[in-house]
Amino acid sequence: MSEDSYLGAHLEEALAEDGRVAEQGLHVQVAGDRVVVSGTVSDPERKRAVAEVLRDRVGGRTLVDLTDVAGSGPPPEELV
Amino acid sequence: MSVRIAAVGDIHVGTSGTDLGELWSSLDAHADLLLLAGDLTKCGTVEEAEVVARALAGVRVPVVGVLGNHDVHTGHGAAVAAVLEQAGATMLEGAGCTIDVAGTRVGVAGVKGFGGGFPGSSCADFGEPEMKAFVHAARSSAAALAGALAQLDADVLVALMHYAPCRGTLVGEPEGIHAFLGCYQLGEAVDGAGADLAVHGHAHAGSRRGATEGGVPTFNVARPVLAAPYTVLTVDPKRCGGRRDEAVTQ
Ligand SMILES: [Fe+2]
Ligand SMILES: [Fe+2]
Repeated sequence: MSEDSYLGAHLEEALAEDGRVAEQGLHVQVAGDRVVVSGTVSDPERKRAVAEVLRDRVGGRTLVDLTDVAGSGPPPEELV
Repeated sequence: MSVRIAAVGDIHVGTSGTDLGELWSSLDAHADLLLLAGDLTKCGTVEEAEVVARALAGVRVPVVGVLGNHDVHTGHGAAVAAVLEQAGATMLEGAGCTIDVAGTRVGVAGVKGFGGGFPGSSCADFGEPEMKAFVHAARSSAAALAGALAQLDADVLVALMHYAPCRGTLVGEPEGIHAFLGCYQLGEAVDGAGADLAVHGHAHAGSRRGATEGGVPTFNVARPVLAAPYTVLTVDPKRCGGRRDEAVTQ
């Protein structure tokens, strides 16, 4: 595991534990000077909070936010 | 006549953000009841629960729910449940309720559930106290679900959980975290009672459909998986009860 991977794990934990985000399913990948975050968040405000929480911790690295906002499409139907 | 069960979990409502009430406004036209599969709030505060309660105010059909791990994070799970009950929801933890839908009795038994893993990679009650506590939590939750299911006399029997009772609905999640997403003991409880379907959340990156080891259809209704404010499970009561009849004749 490289030091980048350790930082990725710390950042994932920060996103789960910081009450502004509190999402456990987000994936953070650190590659040199780029920090890429992906996964689904509940609403646009939570997406802004992800950037906020990470920005304090990534130093001079570039933050790439690939998170999705949970969809509001038509309800899928299932037959049981 | 079919029973239309709307279901969603993992809405993770904060004190500001998207108005779910608006997204649920058409729900009454499409469903006979609404199941909430836990993680209704972001961090489990009373303030967040009050936002969920306001969204529920516009829902006229019966609402039955369980809490998720987010709802107990701040240590106020009981208060969160109380706020939702005040708003008209029936919140279950090791308990059940029966709802009459045009003469069809829909029984719902609910628990939050817990992790622990699935056959081949499950945790055992051995070693450190922390490990034992983890396994005990899973086993007692599954026992509570089994007890609640056994109490119900219904035409359509539903098991409602936050954690997953099977692996099928976890497809898409890293295998390394499956033991934190659910446990097979919940599935054993569902199968043992001959439930007609199981509904859960928690696995945001999982899949919509799966089945327990015993073949009970299982639906992961975590909102990120649905990409919608709820799903509608249309259940034909004529196709229900078979598993319970088998259990009786055995
Ligand atoms: Fe969740
Ligand atoms: Fe959860």
